[in-house]
Amino acid sequence: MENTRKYMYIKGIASLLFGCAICLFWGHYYPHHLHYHEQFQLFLFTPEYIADKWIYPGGIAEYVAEFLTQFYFFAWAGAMILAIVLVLIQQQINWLAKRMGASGFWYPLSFLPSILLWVFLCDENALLALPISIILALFALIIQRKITNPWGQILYTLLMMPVLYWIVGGAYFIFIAGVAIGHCVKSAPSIPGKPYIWIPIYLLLGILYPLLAQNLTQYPLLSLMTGIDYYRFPMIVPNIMLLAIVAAAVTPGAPALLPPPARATKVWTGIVSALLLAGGGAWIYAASDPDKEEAMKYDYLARMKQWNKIIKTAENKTPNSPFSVTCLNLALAKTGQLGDRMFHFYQNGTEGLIPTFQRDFTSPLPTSEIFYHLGMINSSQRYMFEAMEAIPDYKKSGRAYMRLAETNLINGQYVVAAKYLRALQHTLFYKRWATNAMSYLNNEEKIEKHPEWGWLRKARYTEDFLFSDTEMDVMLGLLLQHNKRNRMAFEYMLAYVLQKKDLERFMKYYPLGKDLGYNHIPISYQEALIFVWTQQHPNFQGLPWSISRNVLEGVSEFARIYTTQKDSEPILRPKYEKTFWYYLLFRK
Amino acid sequence: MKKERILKRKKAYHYLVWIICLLAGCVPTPKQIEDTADPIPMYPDYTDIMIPTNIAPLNFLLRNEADAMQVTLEGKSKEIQLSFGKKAIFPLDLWESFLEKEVGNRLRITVIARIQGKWFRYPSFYWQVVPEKLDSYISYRLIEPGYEVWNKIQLREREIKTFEERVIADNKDTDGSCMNCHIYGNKKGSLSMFHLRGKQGGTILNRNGYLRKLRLSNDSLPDGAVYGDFHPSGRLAVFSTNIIIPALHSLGSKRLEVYDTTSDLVIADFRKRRLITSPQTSRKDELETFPTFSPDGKWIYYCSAPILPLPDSIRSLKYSLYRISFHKDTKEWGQQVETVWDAKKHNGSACHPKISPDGKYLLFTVADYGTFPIWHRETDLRMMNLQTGQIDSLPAVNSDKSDTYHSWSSNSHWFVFASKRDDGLYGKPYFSYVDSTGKAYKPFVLPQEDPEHYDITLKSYNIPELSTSELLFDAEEIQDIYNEEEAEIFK
Repeated sequence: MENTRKYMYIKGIASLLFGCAICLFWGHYYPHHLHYHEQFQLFLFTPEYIADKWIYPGGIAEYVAEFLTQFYFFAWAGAMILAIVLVLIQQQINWLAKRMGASGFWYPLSFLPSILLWVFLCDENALLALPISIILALFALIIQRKITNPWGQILYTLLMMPVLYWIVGGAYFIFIAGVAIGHCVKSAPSIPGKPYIWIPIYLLLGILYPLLAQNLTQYPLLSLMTGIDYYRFPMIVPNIMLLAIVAAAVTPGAPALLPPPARATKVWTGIVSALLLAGGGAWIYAASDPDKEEAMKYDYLARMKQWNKIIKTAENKTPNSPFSVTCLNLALAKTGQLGDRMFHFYQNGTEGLIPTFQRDFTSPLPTSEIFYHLGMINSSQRYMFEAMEAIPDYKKSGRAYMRLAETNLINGQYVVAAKYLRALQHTLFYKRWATNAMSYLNNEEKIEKHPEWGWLRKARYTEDFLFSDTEMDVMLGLLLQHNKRNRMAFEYMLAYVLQKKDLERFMKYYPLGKDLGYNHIPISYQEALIFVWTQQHPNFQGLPWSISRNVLEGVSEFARIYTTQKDSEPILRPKYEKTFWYYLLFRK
Repeated sequence: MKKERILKRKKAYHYLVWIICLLAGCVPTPKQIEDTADPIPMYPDYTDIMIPTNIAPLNFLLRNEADAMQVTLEGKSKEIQLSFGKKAIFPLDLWESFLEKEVGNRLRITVIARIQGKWFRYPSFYWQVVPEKLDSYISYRLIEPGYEVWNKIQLREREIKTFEERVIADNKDTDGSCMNCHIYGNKKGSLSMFHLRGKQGGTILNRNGYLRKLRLSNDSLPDGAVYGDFHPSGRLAVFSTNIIIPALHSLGSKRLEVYDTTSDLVIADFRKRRLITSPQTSRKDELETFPTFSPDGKWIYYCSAPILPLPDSIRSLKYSLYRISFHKDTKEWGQQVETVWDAKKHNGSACHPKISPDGKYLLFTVADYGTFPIWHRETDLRMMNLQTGQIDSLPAVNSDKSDTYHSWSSNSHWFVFASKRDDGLYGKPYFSYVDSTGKAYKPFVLPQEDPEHYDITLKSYNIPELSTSELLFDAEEIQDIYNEEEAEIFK
C-alpha cells in the first residue's frame, strides 16, 4: 500500500518536473518561437471564423489550437499552455496504458509521445493543432475504454470514428490503433466469441473516411490522411510528426502486450528512464535551433520597438545573419547610433541593411519595419502585405493587419484601414489597439498629432514615381529631399553607400546632412571621409572636416600596417575590425 | 461528370438564417415613427436602381446603430412588409416570386429603422424591375489585391438568382500556380478558357465539358498567350502575347503599375493547333494588346501604343483603339488597320474593348496612361455607339475609383464590371443596365447572402464574366488535367 502511494508520488513528481522543464524551455530558452507562431495567425471571435473551421477534417482541433496559440503573444503563457498540453498527453497515455493492463514498469514510456511532440514543436513550422488533435483522439479512446458494455463499446467506436475524424483529422488513426490494440489485450471487455474480427472493420473504415472526405473537400489525400493543419506547409509531412502520431497510437496499448522483465525491475526502470531522459534531451537539444531563435528574437524586438534591447542583445553576441543584422541596424538608426556604431557590429552588406524582396513570409517582415520607420509607407505596406500573402497555410497575421491598418491610416485610405481594424476588434489581444486606432479614422487632426503616424505622414513621399528597389540610395535621397528633417533617411542613405563601398556616392550625399543637427560627424562617416582624404592627400593638412584624434591616429596606423605587411588582415583584425576601413578592405 | 462541390449552404440554411434574423429582431413593431430626411445609410447602396427579375435578393444593412428594421416592398401586385434585425436578409422564394410578378413595374421600398429605441422612416427609394434578364451565371477570380506574391487563387462560378457559388479552379490543386481570367465563347458555359500557369500549366480550353490543355506559344512566339477572346465560331481565338513587367508606385493611392516591354497579337486555331500572326499587329515599334472579336467575327478590335522607353516614359504611354479585319474561312488577317479611338485626341489610354453581342456598342476603359488600369483611380468606362461613333462617358456608371474589366450580358442590356469604388482596393462586380436607347443606369453590386460579406472578405473579385449557362467542369477536373495531361503544342 505504502509502495503504491510512494510510486504515485514519484509519478506525480516526474510529470510535474516534466511540465516544469517544458515550461522553462519555451518560456526561457525558446520564447521567440512562440511569438513567431502567434504572428502568423489571426484568431477571430466571429461566427464566420468558426464556421470556416467546421468544413474540413481537423478544422475543429485547429480552431482550439489557434485559440490557444493566440496566447503565445505572451511567451510564458504559451510555455504554460505547451507544458499543460504535453503533460496532459503523458497523463492520458499513462491512464490508457494502465487501463489496458500495462505493468507499472513501463510507466516511463508514457513520456515518449510527449517528448517526440516536444521535438516536433521545436520546428518553427510545427503547429499546435497536432498535440491538440492527439489530446482529443486520446480522450475519445479513454471514453471508449470506460464503456464496460462490449457492444456499447463497439457501437461507440463505430459512431465516434467519423465524428473524431472530422474533429481532429489524421490524428484519429491514434484512436483506431488504440481500439485495435485494445481488442488484443486481455483486460479489455470483449464481446463473446472472436473480438478480433472487428479490427479489420475498424481499419477499413479508418481508411474509408479520409477517402470519403476527398469527395467532400478540396484537400489532397495526403493531407486528409496525415492532417491538414499540423504543419505550416500543407504538403510537407515531417518524419518526426509521423513518429509522434505512431508513438501516441502505440504507446498506450503496446506495453500491455509486453511483459516486464522478470528480475531487477528497479534497475531496468532506471535504465529505461535514463535512456528516455538522455535520448529525449539530446534529441530536443539537436532539434532546437538557437540561431533561428536569435533571429526571431531580433524580429520580435523590432516589432515591439524595443530598440535598446536589440542593441544590448547584439552587444552580448554580435548577430551575423542578414535577418538579425537588419533589425540591429534599424535599432541603431532609431536610437541615433547608426552612423557611429554601424561597423562596431558585423555587417553583411546592403542585405543586412535593407534586404531585397524575397517571396516568403518571414524575410519581408523586418524590411517592412525599416520602410515604415523611414517613412516609405507604400513599401512598408507592400512588404507586409506580401509577407502575409506568402504564409503557406493561407492564414492571416495579426501583426500584418496592424501594420496594414497603420499604413492605410497614414496614407489616408480610411475605408481600407477600417476593414483591417474591424477585424482586429474581433481578437483578444489587438482589440484595444484597434478600437483606439478606429478613433483616428477620418480624423486628420488627430493623426497629425499622433507621435508616430503624424511624423510618418510628414516623412512619406507626396509625389508619385515608380519605386526602384535596385536604386535604394536614390529612393532614400528622394525621401530626404521631400522632408529635410528625416535624419533616419539620411543615415540609411549613407549607410547604404558605405556598405556598398561606393565612396563616390558617399562623398556626393554626405553634404546633405549638414542641416540635420549633428553635434559631431558620426564615426563611420569620419572613417570614410578620412579614407577618401588619404587617397588624395599625403597628410592631414587642410582637412575640411572635424575628424577626431582617435580616427586620425587610427587611419595612420591602419594604413601603415596595411601597406607594410603582406598579410595584414590578422594583424589589423583585433584592433580595427569595428572600423569602416576594415569593412571596406577585408569584408567580402 | 463528377459531383460538383457547392460551397454555399443549401436552401434550408437560407431559411434558417432568415428565421434567426427574424427572431433576433424579435419582430418589433414600429411605434411613434419619426420621418427623417437623411438619406438611408444603406450598404450596399441599392437605392434607385434598375434590377432584373433573376437577381438574388438585394440583402442590405444600415451603416448606423440601427438594431431593427422594417422593410416594405410596394409593387403593383402586392405589398410585402418584413421585419429584420440589423441586416435585411430577404427569403429567397418570396423574393423570386415577388419579382416575377412585378416585371416592368417600379417598386417602392421604405425602410423604418430603430435607432437607440426610436423609430425613423427613411425617404423611400425605388427599384425598377426590367424585363431583360441578366445572364444566369457569373464567374470571377478571387484573389487578394497584392503586388507580386499570390497565395490562394480561385476561379468561382456563381448563380445570379441565388447565392450558390462553386469553385471551378483552385490553385491549391495546381501547385499554387497563378491562374488568369476566365473567358467564355458566345457567353455560354459550354465554351470557355483560362490560362493556368506553373510547370504543368497551359491554356485550359473547355468545350462542352471536355477539357484540353494547350501550349499557346512556339519558337517564334515564346511569350505565350495572355489576353484573349473567342471567335464567334468557337474554333479560333485571338490573343495578345505580352512580356509583363511590374513596377511599384511611391504614393498611397496607387499600388502597382504593370507595363509591357513587348506585345503582339496572334490567332490560335484550336482545330489545327497553329498560331497565326500578322505583320500589321506584330510590329516591333508598337505594343498591341487586349484583342477582341466583333460579334460577327469579321473584325478584331485591339489597343495599341508606340513603344517608349519604359518605365521612364510610362506616363506618356497611351493606347489607342484600332480594328483590323479578319477572314474566318481563309483565316487571314486584313491589311488595313483603322483607328477607332485616338489616344492623342482624347488624351487617355484605352484598355479592354468589348463589343455588345448585338454589335451596337463598344465598351472600353480609359485611364490617364498605361495598360494596367485597375490601380488607376481615374480609370472609367466609356461606351461608343458603333453606328454613330458617339462616345458616352457613362456618368451614372463611373466612380472616382477604378471601374474596369467589363463583360456584356448576352442580351446586350446588362454589363458587369469590376469596380473599386467602395475602398479603392478591393474590386467587386457591379451590374449596370443599358436600355434600348443606349442609356446606362446606376450600377449595383452583386448581392451577397450576408450583406456584411464585402466588409469581411479580403478578396478582390477580378475579371467578372457573364454566361448564360453553367460551366461543365469543376476544380477536380482542372486538378486532373493539370497533373496528368501534357499540353498540346501549337505550331
